[in-house]
Amino acid sequence: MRQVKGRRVPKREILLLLLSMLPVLLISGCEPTHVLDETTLITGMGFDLIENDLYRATITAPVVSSMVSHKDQIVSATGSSLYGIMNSLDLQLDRRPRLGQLRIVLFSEDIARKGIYPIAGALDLVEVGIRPYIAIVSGNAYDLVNAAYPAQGNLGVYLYYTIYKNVRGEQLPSPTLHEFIRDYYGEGSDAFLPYIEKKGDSIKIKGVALLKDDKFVGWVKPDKAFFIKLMCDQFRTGLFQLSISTKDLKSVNPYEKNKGKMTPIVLDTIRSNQTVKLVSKNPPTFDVQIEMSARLAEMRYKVNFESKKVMRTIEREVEKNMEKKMAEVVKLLQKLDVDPIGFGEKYRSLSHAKNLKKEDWRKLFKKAKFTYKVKMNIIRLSVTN
Amino acid sequence: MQINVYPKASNQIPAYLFLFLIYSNQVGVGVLGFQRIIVKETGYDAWISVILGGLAAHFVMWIIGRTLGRYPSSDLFGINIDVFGKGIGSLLNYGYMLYYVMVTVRILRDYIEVLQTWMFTEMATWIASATILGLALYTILGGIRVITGYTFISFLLTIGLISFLYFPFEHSRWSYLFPIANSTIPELLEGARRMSLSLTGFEILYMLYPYAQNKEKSRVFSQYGVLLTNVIYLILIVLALTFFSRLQLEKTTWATLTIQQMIHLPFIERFEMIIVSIWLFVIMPNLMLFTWSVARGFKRMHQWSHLKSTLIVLFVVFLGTLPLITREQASAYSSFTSQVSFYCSFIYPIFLYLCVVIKNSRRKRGVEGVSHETG
Repeated sequence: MRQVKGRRVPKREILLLLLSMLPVLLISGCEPTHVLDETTLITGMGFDLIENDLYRATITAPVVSSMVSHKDQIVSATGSSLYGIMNSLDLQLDRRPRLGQLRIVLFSEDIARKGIYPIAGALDLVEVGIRPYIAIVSGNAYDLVNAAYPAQGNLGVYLYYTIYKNVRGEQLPSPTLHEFIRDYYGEGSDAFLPYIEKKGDSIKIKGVALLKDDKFVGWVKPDKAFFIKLMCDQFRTGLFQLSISTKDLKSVNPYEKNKGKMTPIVLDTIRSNQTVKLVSKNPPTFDVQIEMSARLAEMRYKVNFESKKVMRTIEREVEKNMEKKMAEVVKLLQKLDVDPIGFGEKYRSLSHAKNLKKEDWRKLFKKAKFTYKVKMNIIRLSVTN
Repeated sequence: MQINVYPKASNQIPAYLFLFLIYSNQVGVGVLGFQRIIVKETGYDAWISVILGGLAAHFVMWIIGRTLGRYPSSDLFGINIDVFGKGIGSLLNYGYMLYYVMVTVRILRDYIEVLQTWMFTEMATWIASATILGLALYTILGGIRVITGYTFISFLLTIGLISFLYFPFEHSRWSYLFPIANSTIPELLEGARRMSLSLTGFEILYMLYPYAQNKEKSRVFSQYGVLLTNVIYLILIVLALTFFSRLQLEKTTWATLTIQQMIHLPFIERFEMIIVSIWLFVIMPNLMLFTWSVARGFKRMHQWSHLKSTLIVLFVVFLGTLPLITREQASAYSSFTSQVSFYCSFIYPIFLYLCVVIKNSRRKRGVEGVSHETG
């Protein structure tokens, strides 16, 4: 027995300890090395349709090297499957392409009209994760990714943060891969994704693309997308601009020369809460009630904001305006046969419809009737009012 | 063979540690993917099945406690020999030891499957097997007190992971849980039966009981352990139900890990990799406790030394993971073990309790002259 610091350390135990650590040495040869400098980290991918089953993918990846003039690498390859395309890309890059940092996946309108699930579903890999964003591009994804954006840096990261910031700012729905697959498989909902276009030297989010299952059927501008979010989700600090009629309002501005019929009004810090009740099952009748409170940020037509009567008139005008717009939006959705708001999900959970299938819900949705009630509360004004 | 065993006081375990022992032995690799198995059968009322399964576990735990309470300090091997005699009792003991080896192989293989799918796609099964079993060997040789200490530490390290579930709950859609009670009773019961593989592990009390310092208290703490397991399973099933739509969940093999991908911390890109790595801490107590139980069986019945029986058991477990190469084979083996564990963990303790009661009543009538405390 060896003597160490006065304690007797048994030799047998040390031998066993070393013996049981031996396999750890063996495991170090298991996984091939992925050196970061030898990897192309794809941050953005855009897909176009070339022929019936042939896709073209354009990828953008940052280049970490002091020897090159461009900081981003843009490469494109064709193939009919995701891994086929990756293999093709491998022949064009000096470093191995990996999807681990994929932030955004873009689909051109052509692919989207045929259906994005063949590619989006293939992206459901461990390597990619469920957090990348999906968006639909008006035009060619190739053109959008290929263009040079001098002020914006790496396209993948730039687009990701643009969308992320607007999701936080509550202008866009959260278009993660997970949410797309969830709504695609969900029986009573449809996915809706940001709709992007290239505008001059920069990229603009035009609005929200509506998808029926996984096929693109149309898009709406952000002001209509506001109502979609209003009816299915909550606002915490939303912002909205609308025009209300000045019929019942008297101006307090002594210099007001032309009293127009409508005045623009901006409400921000909107907090909203929705309650959707299922009133009857056949035909499905929903009662949509929205409770909102907001701050009146800007109104061109100056009125006496101290008076409660005036404030109530403004609130009523806003309510009427919103109810009308909500009805228009839902009619448009019924016409396009999509249900991004999730009335189907409401129907499924409140009625005891056994195994409601998506096709059944689409038939019912066309016949559905809605009543709307908005309750608006203007709780604050901006400073100089 | 002695029916009652009385370990030295220095080798005994305080009663409160039974909570962690039972909890750690139940929570293993099933937690990562149990949601899909139940939802396939029960639909979106799966959380009711989880509650039912949990109540069944509490009931069987109580039965096990009552069975053990009828002897001063015995374990399963002793009770089997006492109730059924040497021949059949030994046979039942071997059967139970074989079941424990099966379960160990299943836990190890499933965890390596997770490693191979999520982290090391090109790793051979036997390498990970050998490494993990080597770690287990070192701890098991230290005896039950070392295993218990390890269990306690693994509990402390992993219980904090629950707090990270706050992030996925932000994405939840509570309407997915409604309408409640849409499934029929047979579907709910079938779902509860499928929970059996995830809940199994509480019968380890059969082996640990002689080592408890305070026998009555240890049974109470074991129930608390089962309660903690039930609460965690309930949280995870509700999380999965509100996170995924139904068809999506039916395609997601490891729901718990997929949900963890949504957790986004500024300094960790892929949180679920951390979970997969830490999960080794979670399955080690399972492997060690089951292996130790089988080694105890050999020691009790054949007086083999602890080292010899542990080495043999671990070697058999290692050999058991080798033929399970493809995912289908591992899944099929898992399902088979699930069926067996329902009978061994839930049905057998009830059966044993009834036999003990019958045996005791026959003894009290003076058929045999052996006296035992009842209670």
